[in-house]
Amino acid sequence: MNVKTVDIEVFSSSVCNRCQRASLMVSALLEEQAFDTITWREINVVEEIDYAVAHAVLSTPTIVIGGTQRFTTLPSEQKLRDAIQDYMSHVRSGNE
Amino acid sequence: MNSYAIGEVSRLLTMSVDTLRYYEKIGLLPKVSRKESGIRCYSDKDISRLKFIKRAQKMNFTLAEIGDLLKMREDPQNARNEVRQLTLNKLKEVEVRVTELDTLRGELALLVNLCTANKEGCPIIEIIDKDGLPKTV
Repeated sequence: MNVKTVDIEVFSSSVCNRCQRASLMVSALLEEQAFDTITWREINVVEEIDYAVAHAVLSTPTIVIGGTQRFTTLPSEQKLRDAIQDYMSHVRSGNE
Repeated sequence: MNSYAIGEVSRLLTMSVDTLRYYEKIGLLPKVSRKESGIRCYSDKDISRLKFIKRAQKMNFTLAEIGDLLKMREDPQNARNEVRQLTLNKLKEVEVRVTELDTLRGELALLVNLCTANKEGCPIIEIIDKDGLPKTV
């Protein structure tokens, strides 16, 4: 079964401590679950402000999963895990 | 129906009395009714029309264009084809402007939120530093 790549985007800014924690959490979570189809990246909203505005980002950290804004503040690890699993299950059901 | 003296309309819409008289003179506003003494009495419909003129001017439409748009506004079903086309073109311009303003609003809102949230630095300053300040003459 081909599982669609999940793109996770963490919108952050340079002087935001919660942003670093959000990125670390995403990174660790993906490693732990070994979803090798999932890619993620961190986006500095100051450097890519046009991209951030196009995604309606109004604060940092904002976490976008599969193109949908899921969190506009630092989530708990469990909530982030649930959101990723929820998205993955949607992708899987779409591929079946 | 309400009735307004020219001074009231001037204050209400922040338009000068001379401008109000001028719009009437060039036909942007139909002849305003008058009291027996000759004093102008503006109706709610006149006020609505003046507000439309003001909004259109803010969008940089010329007075001639506004005149055509007002004809369309008055009688949309029977407007001439060229007036319909002009209105359609202006609608497209307004939509482009709205999109641009919406993007600008998002950008400013993000920057303000970042500045408010961060005590150590302000991204607005970072962006100005990166792009440089506008040159002054």
